[in-house]
Amino acid sequence: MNDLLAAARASLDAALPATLSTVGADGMPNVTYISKVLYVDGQHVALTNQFFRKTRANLEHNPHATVMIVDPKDCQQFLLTLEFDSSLEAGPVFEQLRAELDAIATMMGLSDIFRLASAYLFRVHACERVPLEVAES
Amino acid sequence: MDAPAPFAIEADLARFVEGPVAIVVASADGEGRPHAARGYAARVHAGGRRLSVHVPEVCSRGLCEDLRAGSGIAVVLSRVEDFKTYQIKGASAEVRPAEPGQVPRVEAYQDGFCTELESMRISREASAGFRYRRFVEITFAPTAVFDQTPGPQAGCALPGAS
Repeated sequence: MNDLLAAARASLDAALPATLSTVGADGMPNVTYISKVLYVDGQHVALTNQFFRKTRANLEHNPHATVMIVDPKDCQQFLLTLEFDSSLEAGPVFEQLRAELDAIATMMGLSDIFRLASAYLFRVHACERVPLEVAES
Repeated sequence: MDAPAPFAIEADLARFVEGPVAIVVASADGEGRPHAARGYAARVHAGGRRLSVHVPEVCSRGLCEDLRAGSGIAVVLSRVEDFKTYQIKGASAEVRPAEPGQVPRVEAYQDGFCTELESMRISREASAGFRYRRFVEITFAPTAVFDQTPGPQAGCALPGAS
């Protein structure tokens, strides 16, 4: 898994907006877009918590989550199986994520909307490439 | 638990849903673990009370297993050009092989979406990684729609029509 997460790291650095899927106490899935997935180490990633009312409520009941990322270089998709660890309001991971989010917000013209409330730290249990299907002509 | 009231998708939202938007479909297994797959060519049925979306066969096994077992469904749709985003939920969904008659729609969606990605400097060559040929069709009755466009209103439910 570590090798593939390392391979996905380049995708994380350049990735398009990712999607985070969680599950509520009622068993209903929920999907939200997130601006940045930060590689922390071989076992952890951190996600921007920007508008996470429902996601936060879900993770309080159920730590399981899945994030889908896309490498814009070749549109290779990766699925990371995650377990919520903790919410960070300060520290180097938070500061790095805030700096990256500020840069993304400036690029998107959304500086007045994107504010990092906290960084969500997740343990990575699996990282898999989404299979491609070579189109037959 | 009472069954959620059905939600009728109005014409403006239907046009958005059926446009070249990025789509992700999610489910949950019996242990509360989510599964997700990229969606293609969403379609609102007449009357707005049913919605279909395609997912590639090769990367949707967990999702389809969950849905066949009775999982609820969440579909998030986002427009590349302005980040307008909605999430549509349903209490359950039907899963069946894609109808051959839907192939032109799915092909047109893939062409349109790849065109949208060019505005993000993603070339046609790169976006070929998003293209698939074999699909499963998922159909459900929407029970709630949420505005998830970035901003303070993100997560607010749209008023339902009955």
